Amino acid sequence: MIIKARFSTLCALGLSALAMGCDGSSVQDSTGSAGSQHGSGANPNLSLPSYQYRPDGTGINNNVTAVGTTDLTVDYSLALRTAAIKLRGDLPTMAEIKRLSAAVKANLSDGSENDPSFVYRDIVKSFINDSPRFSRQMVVFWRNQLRMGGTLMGDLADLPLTAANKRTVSLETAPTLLGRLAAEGKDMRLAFTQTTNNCPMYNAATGVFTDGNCFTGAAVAGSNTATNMGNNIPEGQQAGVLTNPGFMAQYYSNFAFRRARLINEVFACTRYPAEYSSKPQVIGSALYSSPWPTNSVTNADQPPTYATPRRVQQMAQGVTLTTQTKEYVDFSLQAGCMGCHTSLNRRAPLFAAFDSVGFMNTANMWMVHSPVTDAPFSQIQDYLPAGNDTPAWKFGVPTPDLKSFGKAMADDTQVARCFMIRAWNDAYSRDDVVNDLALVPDSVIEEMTQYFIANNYNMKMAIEKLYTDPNFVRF
Amino acid sequence: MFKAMLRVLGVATLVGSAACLPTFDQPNAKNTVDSVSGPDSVTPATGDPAAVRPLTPAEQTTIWQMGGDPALLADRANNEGPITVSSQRHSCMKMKYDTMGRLLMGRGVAMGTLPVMANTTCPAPTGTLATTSQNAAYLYCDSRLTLGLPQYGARLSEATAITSGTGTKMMDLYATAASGIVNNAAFTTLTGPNCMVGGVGTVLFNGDNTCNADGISCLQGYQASADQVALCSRIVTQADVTGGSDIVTSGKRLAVAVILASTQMCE
Repeated sequence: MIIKARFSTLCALGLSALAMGCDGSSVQDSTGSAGSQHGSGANPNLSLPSYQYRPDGTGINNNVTAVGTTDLTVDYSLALRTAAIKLRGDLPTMAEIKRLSAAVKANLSDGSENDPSFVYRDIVKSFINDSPRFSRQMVVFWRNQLRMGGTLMGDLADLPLTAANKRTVSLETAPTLLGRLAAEGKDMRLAFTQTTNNCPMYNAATGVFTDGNCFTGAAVAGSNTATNMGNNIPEGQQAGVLTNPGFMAQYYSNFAFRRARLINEVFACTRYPAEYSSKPQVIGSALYSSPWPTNSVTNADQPPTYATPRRVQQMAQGVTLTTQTKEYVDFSLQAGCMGCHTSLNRRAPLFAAFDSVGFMNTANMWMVHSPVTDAPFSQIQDYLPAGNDTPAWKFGVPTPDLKSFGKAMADDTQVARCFMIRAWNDAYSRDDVVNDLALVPDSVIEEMTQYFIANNYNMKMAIEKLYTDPNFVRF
Repeated sequence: MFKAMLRVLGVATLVGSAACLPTFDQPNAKNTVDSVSGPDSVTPATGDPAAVRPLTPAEQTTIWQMGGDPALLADRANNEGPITVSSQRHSCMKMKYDTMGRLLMGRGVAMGTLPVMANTTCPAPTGTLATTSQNAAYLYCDSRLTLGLPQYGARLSEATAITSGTGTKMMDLYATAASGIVNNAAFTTLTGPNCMVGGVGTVLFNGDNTCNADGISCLQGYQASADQVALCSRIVTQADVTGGSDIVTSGKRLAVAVILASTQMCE
């Protein structure tokens, strides 16, 4: 009895990973549960007034009960306001408000101007097809998801830290790339697989996108402080936003961990740990839940070796420094590091050759530092032991280069789901799925995800479905 | 012998007291949530979803894997209901800074050049700042950080929550805009571009100084209810007089400010 009650307590706290078998059943994948109910306009767990969703496209009948009860939760007018703000960046016009109001008063279901569902959908479609303003909203949406905008000035390559070696980089091209894909109804997987034209620009005044290449051709020696650096990766070898110089610059850090972390948080919608084993183990005081073998990252049991001296950032012109330090970061199993770092240490090395302005060193000279004495530039043995040092997106998905990494992300259903979660949270005015834990369960988002995938990852179509869903017009 | 008896008595006492210790047994799962008492309690309105249920194991797994702090999630679930319900309901996201500027301009307020960015030079203030009221364009530009201009340089997105500082400044902005939003001589009609239908402005105040539903609808962006119209009319007639103005004009400005502040905080 007490044991069962304690399992229930764990279940109530969401600890079903520990309390296996809550309610007499085993933990199982939540994918697909109740998804079809949502699509039919019904929320499986809501006790709402009676209503009926008619799948012929004429919307919700407000008078389905015997006594003609109106479903008070349906408010097309309020939904139009929210949709206009999100999709057009402004309130509805008086003409739109009047048009919808007249239809609500008539309350027919005949697909005419007297049908509120028809009129609402028609106006929402006009928002989405209002290309200058919808494009602007998509760029703004991705600016906020990526937390990027404006420009950034940083230090170029491993050159001495002097004013002459500062360079700027645009933080607009990454959100513009994603915003353009969304606004133009392109395959959103191109965000990770597009090999050229990955630095488009957006004219806010005209609402027009223009092509742009991330590879400027500027050599390190030939650039100057006025040069807006590119990524130094030739067209055809790029991987969408993953090789965007602004994205790399904005999230520059030791070990390139901030880049790898953001990629998971923004595009997979989860914090680290990024992967889970079906059989977590309690080791010491920590829960080891990674599918990777223990000791598959650098740690004290298999310390790295270095060819000394190690490269160190030159602090001033003409002063070349090296270090003899043998120190390394111990990604300890007992301390609980490996749960995240088995994934993180296999992703970050792919981004370690980009410097603080997102310019890649193509001679495999890494431009991020190890946080040990003298802060030497990192090397592969800082992350992974010799013989087991192939980067990977996930366990069983090796990705030796950036293009294969982008392909693996594009093939991951969780990434598709994450696009929909971010669109959903924005539509419903919710907070960030990762930073603020505004979670959307699989059972809620699965139908949108399947629709997104079935329509060739077209975010524009998915957004139209989202804003015209019967659930969206209910408050 | 006496010591042995004391030992037995001590053991019995410990066992007995242990039996009285509180346990972690939980009540059986229920289909409804008990009413919350105290100052935070809210009586559900008719039509509100009342029923919640324990999370299924599948949902718990999702939350655990996607979330993090189970105490935080449990607290949120207690307040908001199961995540399958709360995730499908509209929330309140702070009106974006750029949207605020556009909506005021579209309703007829002179906002200067938009969009305002971090490096935009704001219009010069009128008179002495400490003693002279400023127009909406100045307030909107000068208060850009408080109003939520995103700080991408700090790797931050635009805030989605309304802080007390942001909320207060938004109300200041809307109060300031109220003087310029009805800009015809008779102070009756909204002539901003988004309030024009067929070249004709939308009447906000009728000839008898009562409020007009269409005007309120245009200000708030959705159809006004009869209650809103009645409340608006009441504000017009019950406002205090400010210097250089009559009671009705002050009331009208106050009504506009109240409508904007009460409807344009959230998206």
